Amino acid sequence: MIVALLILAQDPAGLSAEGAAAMRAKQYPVAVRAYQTLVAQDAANPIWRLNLGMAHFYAADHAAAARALEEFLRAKPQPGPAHLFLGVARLKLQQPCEAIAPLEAALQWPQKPQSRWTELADAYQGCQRWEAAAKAYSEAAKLEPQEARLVRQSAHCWRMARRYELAKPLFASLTNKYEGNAEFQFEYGDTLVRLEGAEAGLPWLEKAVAADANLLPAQAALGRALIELGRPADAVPPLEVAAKTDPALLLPLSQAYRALGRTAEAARAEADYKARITQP
Amino acid sequence: MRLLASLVLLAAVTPSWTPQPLPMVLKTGETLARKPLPATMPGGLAIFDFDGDGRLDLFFANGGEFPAGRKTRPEHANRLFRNLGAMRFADVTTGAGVTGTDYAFGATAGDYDADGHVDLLVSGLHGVTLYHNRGDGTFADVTRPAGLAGDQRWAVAAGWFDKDNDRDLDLIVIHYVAWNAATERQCIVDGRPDFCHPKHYAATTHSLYENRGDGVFADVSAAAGFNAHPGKGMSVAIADFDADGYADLFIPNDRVFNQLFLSRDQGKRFEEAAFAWGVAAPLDGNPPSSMGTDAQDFDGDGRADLIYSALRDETFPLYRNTGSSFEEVTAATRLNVLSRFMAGWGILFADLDNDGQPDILAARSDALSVTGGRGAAAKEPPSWFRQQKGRYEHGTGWETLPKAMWRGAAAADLNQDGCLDVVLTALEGAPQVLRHPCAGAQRWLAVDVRTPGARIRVGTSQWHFVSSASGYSSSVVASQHFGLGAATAADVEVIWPGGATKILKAVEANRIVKVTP
Repeated sequence: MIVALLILAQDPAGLSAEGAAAMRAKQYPVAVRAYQTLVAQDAANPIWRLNLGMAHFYAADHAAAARALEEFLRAKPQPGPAHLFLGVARLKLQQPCEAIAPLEAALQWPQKPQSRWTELADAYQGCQRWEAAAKAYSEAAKLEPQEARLVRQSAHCWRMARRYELAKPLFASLTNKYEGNAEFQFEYGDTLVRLEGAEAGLPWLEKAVAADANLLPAQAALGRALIELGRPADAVPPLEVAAKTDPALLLPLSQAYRALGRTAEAARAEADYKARITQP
Repeated sequence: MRLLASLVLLAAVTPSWTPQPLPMVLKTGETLARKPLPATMPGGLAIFDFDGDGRLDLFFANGGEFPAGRKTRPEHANRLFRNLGAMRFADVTTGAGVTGTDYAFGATAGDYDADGHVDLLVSGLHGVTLYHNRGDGTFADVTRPAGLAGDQRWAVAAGWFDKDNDRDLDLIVIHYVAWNAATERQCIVDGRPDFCHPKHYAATTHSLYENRGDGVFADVSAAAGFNAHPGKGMSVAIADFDADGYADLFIPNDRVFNQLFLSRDQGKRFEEAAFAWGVAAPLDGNPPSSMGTDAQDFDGDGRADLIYSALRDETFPLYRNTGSSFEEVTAATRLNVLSRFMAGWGILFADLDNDGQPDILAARSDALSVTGGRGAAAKEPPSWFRQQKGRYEHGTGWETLPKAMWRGAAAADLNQDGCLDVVLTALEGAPQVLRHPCAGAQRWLAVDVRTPGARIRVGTSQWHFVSSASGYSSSVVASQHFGLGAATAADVEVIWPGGATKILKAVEANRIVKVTP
């Protein structure tokens, strides 16, 4: 029915109405065609590009959405939904660094602030701007305090930013909610090791490895903590497991072997370490 | 309540150090848009008595402008400040002739021609500059006649030492990376131009020069084995680590394995032994951004231990010398948790509280630009760590010192009051002389032995290893300062390179004692 109307309706008002109807009916390809026609007929009117971009976005053609929205924003750069949709499109396209500018601009738009903080935080995180991501997740968490995930993400990003002193209280506030979560236990334990020493983080690292023996970063952190505590015999198993993917661990592993009198294995691990740690 | 009372008492008995700026600005040449790598590297200084008046003077290497990598304006000049006493300093740079022309990073002082006047070598972007001290308050640039003008690679640090115990000072020059202004890349950190990671630059080798004894140096790098070991050196610590009677060299490298060059064949060649001795990388296996370094005996066993600074989350690794290797004790001494959040440059052992236990001080800041992606977070305050029987804790009295881009650090008793003062440099800031409050009743002894390579014992277990190199690209030629705690006297033993030894019994505290072979 809508398609038939679209074919008949070639005047701008009719096309616009049909495009809107198609959007409401979630017939996004139809809406795309309507707005494409409008853009072709009236290129000077940026609103058709905004609508086209939205139609592409909902049709999951994020590359086309980004192109149309960018053209709209060139004509109408004021903060608004286009920035948000463009930013999200960039995120969907796995282009988090390119998503940051439109999402930062979208913050100036007063509608639905919580969703924009979350998307912006995701963009910062994807672009490895850890500190900015941590702050953005914290802002999002203020708006949605029931969402423990946002606090968890903020803690994760503070840790990645090496701001362990800021990560620690957030992790500490979540221990009940993430009980049994190996990734959480590893991150919290590793944070404590770095902040307070190996003894403080060891119980959490042991829990993490017990919960998921395949979590190699936890095995690595556990091995390093045990070396730091002067327990080479205990350190060898986790280091052996984790060194398969992280050659830096071959050095503490060789030290552990040496401390245990396993000199041949120590020499092999050290030789392997030298060979695999690239010297730029 | 009791804790509060203790804190109040602590505050009452811990007077602050007094910072005193010197009238110069350490110029880097970086701009908002342009961050050439050398611009993050200046900050070395030298403390030595250039005019023989018994007071320690201060020299600061200064940067310049890019893309030339030279000094193009008067404010780029290196600076020499004459110590007038009572912590007053006069700028005598121009008259002394040490203004310089090259973009400079560091300085190392030493009397290479043994004429009794301490000379000065400045490391720069286009090689080194050797200033011969004429003994009349002026210096002559003798770089070319001394045979040091041929290598125009970026020299970041250097050290005078007697590699072959022939009683003249040889020279190690630390080259950082192969760098070329014409091919310098633009790097972006968190959306802004910033300094590039060292991985973008090729490693290079260090240079060893042998003093021929006639004012000329011969490049013996290849024969001594240095050319086989490229690195990204940041500084050098010099001591006889293996106690064979000949000086060895530790070179911290930026994100590649550190190097330990052990002297062999009476100083004719050097064997790279960082792995065998356990200092190539910290125990976690990740080669850090090794920066400044120092070698002294922090645990009183008579062996030269090692520390180097690094960037955040890398800690300041501390190594105990066992006699045949180094054991990392960063965690055992608690220095890991203390330094985890710090980025350091100049770092050194110094007994700041005169209790007879070497403390550690660090000039801190990130390697990234304060106008780059991380912004003001690159600035940090300086720190010192007080030793308490083998473990470290935060030292007090520096709490009011500001965050800045601190780089160089050196310690010496500038006003001869029996306490070590500290001199710090900061990028785009004035150097600061931190005057020690010297309010405690702890006693001290200064042993005036300035021969690099000499070892000095005071009491039963305090050892100093005399070296021209200190911290990051810096140098101190001064009496060796020992804290004595409550002791009123101590025995002093000096062992010079080559083995000559002198022992003084029950030297009274609170004095400078000059000891000659």
